[in-house]
Amino acid sequence: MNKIVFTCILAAVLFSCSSSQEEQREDVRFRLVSAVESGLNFKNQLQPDENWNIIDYLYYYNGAGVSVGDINNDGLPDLFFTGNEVDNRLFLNQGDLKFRDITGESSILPGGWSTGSTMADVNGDGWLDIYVCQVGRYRGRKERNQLFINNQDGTFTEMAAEYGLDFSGLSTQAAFFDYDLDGDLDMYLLNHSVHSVNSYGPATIRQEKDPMAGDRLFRNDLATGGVFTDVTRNAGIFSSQIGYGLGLAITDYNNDGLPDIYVSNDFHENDYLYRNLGNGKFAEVGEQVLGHTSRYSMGNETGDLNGDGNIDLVTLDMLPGDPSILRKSAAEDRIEVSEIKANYGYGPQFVRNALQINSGHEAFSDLGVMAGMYATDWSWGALIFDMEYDGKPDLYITNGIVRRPNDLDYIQYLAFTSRKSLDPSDKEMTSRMPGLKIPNVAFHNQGNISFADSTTAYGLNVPSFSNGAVYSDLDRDGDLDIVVNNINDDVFLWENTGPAGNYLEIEVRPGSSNHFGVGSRIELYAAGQIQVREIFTTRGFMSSVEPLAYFGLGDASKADSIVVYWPGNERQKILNADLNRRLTIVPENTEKNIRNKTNTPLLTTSSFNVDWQHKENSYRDYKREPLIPYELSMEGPAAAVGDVNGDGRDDIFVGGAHGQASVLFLQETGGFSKTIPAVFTGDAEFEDVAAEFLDVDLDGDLDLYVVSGGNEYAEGSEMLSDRLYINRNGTFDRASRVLLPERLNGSTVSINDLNGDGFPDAFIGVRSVPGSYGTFATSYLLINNGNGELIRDESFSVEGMITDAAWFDADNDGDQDLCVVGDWSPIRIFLNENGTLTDEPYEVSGTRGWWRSVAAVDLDNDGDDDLIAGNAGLNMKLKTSVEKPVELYLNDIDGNGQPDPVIFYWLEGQQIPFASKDELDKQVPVFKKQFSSYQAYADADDLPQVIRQMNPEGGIVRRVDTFASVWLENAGNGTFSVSLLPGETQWSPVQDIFVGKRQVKGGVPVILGANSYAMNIAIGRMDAMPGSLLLFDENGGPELTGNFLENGIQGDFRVVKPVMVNGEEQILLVRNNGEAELMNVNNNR
Amino acid sequence: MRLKGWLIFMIGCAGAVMFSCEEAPKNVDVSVDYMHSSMQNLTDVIVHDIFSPPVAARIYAYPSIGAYEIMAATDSSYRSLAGQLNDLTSIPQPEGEVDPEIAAVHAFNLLGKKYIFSEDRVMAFHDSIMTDIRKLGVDEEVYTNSVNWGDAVAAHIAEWSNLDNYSESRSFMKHTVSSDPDSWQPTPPAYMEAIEPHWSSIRTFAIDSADQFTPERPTAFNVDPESQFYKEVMEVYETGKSLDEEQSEIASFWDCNPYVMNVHGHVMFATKKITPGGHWMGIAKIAAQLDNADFAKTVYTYALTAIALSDGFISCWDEKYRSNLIRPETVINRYIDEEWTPLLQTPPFPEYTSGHSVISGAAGEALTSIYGENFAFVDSTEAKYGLPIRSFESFRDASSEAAISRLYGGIHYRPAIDNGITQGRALGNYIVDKLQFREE
Repeated sequence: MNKIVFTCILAAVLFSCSSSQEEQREDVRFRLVSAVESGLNFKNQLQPDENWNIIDYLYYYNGAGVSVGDINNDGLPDLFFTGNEVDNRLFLNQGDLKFRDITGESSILPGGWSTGSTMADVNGDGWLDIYVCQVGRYRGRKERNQLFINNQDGTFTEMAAEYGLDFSGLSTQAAFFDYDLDGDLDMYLLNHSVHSVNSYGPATIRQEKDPMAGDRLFRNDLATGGVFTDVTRNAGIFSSQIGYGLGLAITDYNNDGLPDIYVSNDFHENDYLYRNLGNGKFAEVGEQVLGHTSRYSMGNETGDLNGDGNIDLVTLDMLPGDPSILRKSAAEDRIEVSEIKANYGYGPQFVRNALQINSGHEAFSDLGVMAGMYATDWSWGALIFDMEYDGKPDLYITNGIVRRPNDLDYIQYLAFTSRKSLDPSDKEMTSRMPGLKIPNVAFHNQGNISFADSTTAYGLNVPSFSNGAVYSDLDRDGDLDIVVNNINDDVFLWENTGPAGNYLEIEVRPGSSNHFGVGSRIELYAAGQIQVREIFTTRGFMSSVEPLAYFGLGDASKADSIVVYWPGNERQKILNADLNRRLTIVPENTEKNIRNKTNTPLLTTSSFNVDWQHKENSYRDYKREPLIPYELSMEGPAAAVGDVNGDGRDDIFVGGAHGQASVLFLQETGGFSKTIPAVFTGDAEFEDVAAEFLDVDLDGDLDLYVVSGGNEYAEGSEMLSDRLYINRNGTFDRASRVLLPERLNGSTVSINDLNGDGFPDAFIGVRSVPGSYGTFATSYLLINNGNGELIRDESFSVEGMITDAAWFDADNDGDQDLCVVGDWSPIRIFLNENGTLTDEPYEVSGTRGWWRSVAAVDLDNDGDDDLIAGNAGLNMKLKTSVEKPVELYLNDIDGNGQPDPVIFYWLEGQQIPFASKDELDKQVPVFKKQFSSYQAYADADDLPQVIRQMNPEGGIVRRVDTFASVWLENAGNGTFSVSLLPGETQWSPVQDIFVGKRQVKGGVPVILGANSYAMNIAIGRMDAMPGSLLLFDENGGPELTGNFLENGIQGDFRVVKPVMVNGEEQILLVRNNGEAELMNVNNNR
Repeated sequence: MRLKGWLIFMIGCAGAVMFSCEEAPKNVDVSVDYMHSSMQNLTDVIVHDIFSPPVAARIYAYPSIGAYEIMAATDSSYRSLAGQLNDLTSIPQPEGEVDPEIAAVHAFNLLGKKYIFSEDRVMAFHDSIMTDIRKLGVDEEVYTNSVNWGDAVAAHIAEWSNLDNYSESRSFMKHTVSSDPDSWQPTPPAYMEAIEPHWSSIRTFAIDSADQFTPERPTAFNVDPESQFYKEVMEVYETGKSLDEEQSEIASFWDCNPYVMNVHGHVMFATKKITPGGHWMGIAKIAAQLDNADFAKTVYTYALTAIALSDGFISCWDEKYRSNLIRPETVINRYIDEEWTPLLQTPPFPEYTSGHSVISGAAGEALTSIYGENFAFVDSTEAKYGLPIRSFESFRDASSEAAISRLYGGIHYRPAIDNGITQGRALGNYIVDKLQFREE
């Protein structure tokens, strides 16, 4: 009884909602066509009971699918809906968005708990068949997956068993594609799992086959008189109980003509990217090719979103985009749980949607955060299609869950305070779980890898619990409509009514038993743009689209050329095709497909091997500072280059983390010899973060300054002493070592003869006050007293969280000035006046950032020194602007002697803490008194004010103006103009900058070492762009000439330094917690 | 010892004389039930807010001591703990005529509010009982004086508690998990970090230092099937697999895990119960009621029990992070049976010694010192949480059962239980001997 009443209330809310929105939608793009109008009276109605609900079956609210395809070959796409507790139904398109239910007359049989459906011509007769996935062999459910073979007369016959496809288990969705390129369609079956996540097992569990869960690959052997044969194991497909498969995409991501497979797995299991090896086997390459993935990966989708001809990937997760819902929802793992998962062998995963942009070189960069599509709440289906036909494919995401199990009040408080005899029923536990309908999201592709949320503008903001969805031009009027399968509501039929550009629909008919040309790749060139479509029909979530390529072409008047890559190795080109029609292409004048050979790589490994690996120690800053946005104990390694033994060859010093001895690589004719002087072994406990060679005593050989750092030891600890190693006849020995008196968490050393006395002086940057993120530390100058001793200059200091510094002539007066950069501060330039640095710096306005690096050189060849400054980058959830800055509020809120650093950012018009409530509670226990429930915290207005009021005394506010990496042109009159570095340099924090000498071409080559794996879990690993190469020509502007990903180089780079090897300049790349590499740069490729 | 006791007695006597001069005629009879219900409300809020066992014990201690100090200041048969508990000084004197029971209930709730999160839950309860008390017809001035005194005493106790290093310890390093084979690892399903690794830095109440009752070393970790350690592991494993009905019931009865995480796929929810300390505060209430203890004896019971619990946790936690021993669940899953789960969810801190054993030993001795060796009682403390009632011959009987329940529950090896109860009883007896509550 209660249940019925409840359902009615929900329905009433929905109707009042949609009717009030109806009026506003007059002139918007999409019109909701009612079930009465369309005849699509299908509703995936759920009625949980005591034995079947989200507690008994964890995927109870995952919903069902929809397939679109022309089942009677009348030119009109028909619709098939699956239902979980209602019967599946088939609707025939009668034109004008009118549909007729032909389920009964077509002999489509009911399923059980049906999940995904796929339309495909399984038997190769030119008619679409329907495959329906089921949940079977679980809690009394016995159903088997169904295959409805099209009888070509409007009826179907269920023949799954006859075809060998009557799998019974935890199926999610199937995809039909020709993996072995033998001309017929094979089937990949995506299954999920109900294995309890009570115990995380090691990742090696994925090697163990499970009877119900885990995916399957079936080879089509009909042509040889067989059926579909299970080839899972031989093909190298994982099929285990940790295969929580919720999303399936087939795509040829590496454009080698062989279809590959992407599988989204829920929970701790990695997503799988299976590269098709072409010999009937697949290699799972996810961890090699993807820096990280979504965590609770649900639906996925493929398509070229940045117009470079490479297929990108979208995966969905469950991070709320609404700042209020976000504050009361569980998201990322606690740090200790994430460590356990990493130790078990699982790859890095983050709770957010991913937009994996394909470099075309077996490497993807997740730019979902930068693109603005990373948080769409519980998201199920993603579809990439061009809503406006403007030539740039857009993104549509279905979302919503009837009960939100990640509601933190539910987890912590609402559940119950007893057990055993007073246990409430599962149904009762379910009903206490809150739910909320939210609108599906339409992201308009604005180009440059950025999306605008156009949900409201397009009239799509109707709250719902939506799962499967498809796009199709259902009314054949030249634009794409949307159909969505909803839980507890009628399906949505969204008619596209908005203005649309020119278009072309392409169908391909290869003439094999792969009748509809599944696996074809179609490239269309028009108006100077390339667009790519692949004919793979399993898309979105539990759904399938037509075997058709829909191209939007904006104002283009024709398709300049169309290249069809047929399954196999043939291609053909069609020139000057007319638009606004459906074009059918059959093989004609085909040619052998010649794959583009890759160019000479820009970076190749040097024959001079530097065999060294930095091993970061296990200290985790979050254990003491839960609110820290990134670890300050992962700043190493140190590296310096110079001729130590006076043989005219560059040698290399690399300094390790706490517990790892530093190493000298002495260059000899054929390579480097590695030595660890005893004094370095004795100093292994120091964490080396920066080093430079200098001749401190002017005795003609190079001495070594090494900066000690780390956030682990308190200021004043001997572990934070810098060391000066004096070179005595080519050796550093114990007696030559000097411990410097300052004991701070250092970050950088910059050597220069400041006062012109011939003896080198040093600026020492200090990163932080250990244990007190946000408190500014004091950086200082060491002046050489002429006896080889470095003495602190008490008259000069720089406050900040300094990361890097550069000496250069800022004011063109012939002496060396100092540029200093760091976190929460602007770029500052301290002028040298008569051998001393001025106290008052020139601050470049609007440049407060999280600077990581700075370098100076005359970039534009106008005779004065310019600057390049590396920042944290733009691919971060923290977005800042002068109007809506990221702010650090630093105060000892609870008076326990530890300043509490609370970082605020703006999200959807609200300024909120970046940390979660749990993290705030941990740092400031009285915060729990302030907000004793997550709901109270979610509802709170003006949190910055509330938090300030908790201790109105004191408090410091720091801000960031920009996270973009920039270059600064010296105008020569003491002012600098700031310009952004281009494109992909903004994808990751730029950690080090190497500036080369002016080349023959007249440009200055610059290499940026980038990425950071030291960010906290909410920011996530920043691995989108490990490094870039730029050329500044003499007219100023920088031009991207290449990047590390294209050269197969990934890592968390901290040092980029030149090394002369046999008279040739090579580049030393040094990673945090990874290997050092010496590379040749092939600038003349 | 005798001499010291005598001196304190003299001072206490002088105080009693002074108060007896101000005998208040208009006092009403404030039922001791207000004290019991205030304690019950505090327990409910502790359960709601999710405090770990050591922190919960601290929350019980200060309000109980505050209430006790008020009663001791006005009842000549009791002696103040000022000078007896570490750093505690005498509470302020009342101004004018007061009703000590009103002051005690008021101070208890004010102090309770200070240490928990859901302040509104404490204050709503406080306001309702204060309204009831006023309805008893208490003189307005006496009422006001009593409330003012309660405020002053609460402030005094709060100031004392502020210096116990609790606040500072919130910013100490969290526990770092070691990869040594014998070291504690986070346990399923929530894999929580080890709680309160620096609890030994909290000021003790009555014992000299956290390590005053360091137990014997635990059995050395060894996975050789012939080793003593392995045998102890197998005892946990085998016992867990062959539990009889009563053993299961005992394990559940003494579970006292304030935060059990249930995981069903995406669905997770916490089951919350009283802490081990909360269970013993419940037994203290049962004993006081069975004995028809008056208001003063009741707060004495609560204060001594809470002090024993608090120092017991400090002593136990000192050992836990000294030995940092791996839990049976981790060892069994690693070396014996991947699928094995204990009957009780393993709580998130190192194994040795068993917290419940130590504090039950300590609290059992404390209650025995008040109510005697053979005080039989029926323990219905867990009835609220759906568990049956159990009968005990004595407090020691109950504490022994609480200790062995950890073996049945699969969360402790036997030495943690045997050495834990020894540690707790020694600590409890030390406190009983040291603290002079009664004028003799």
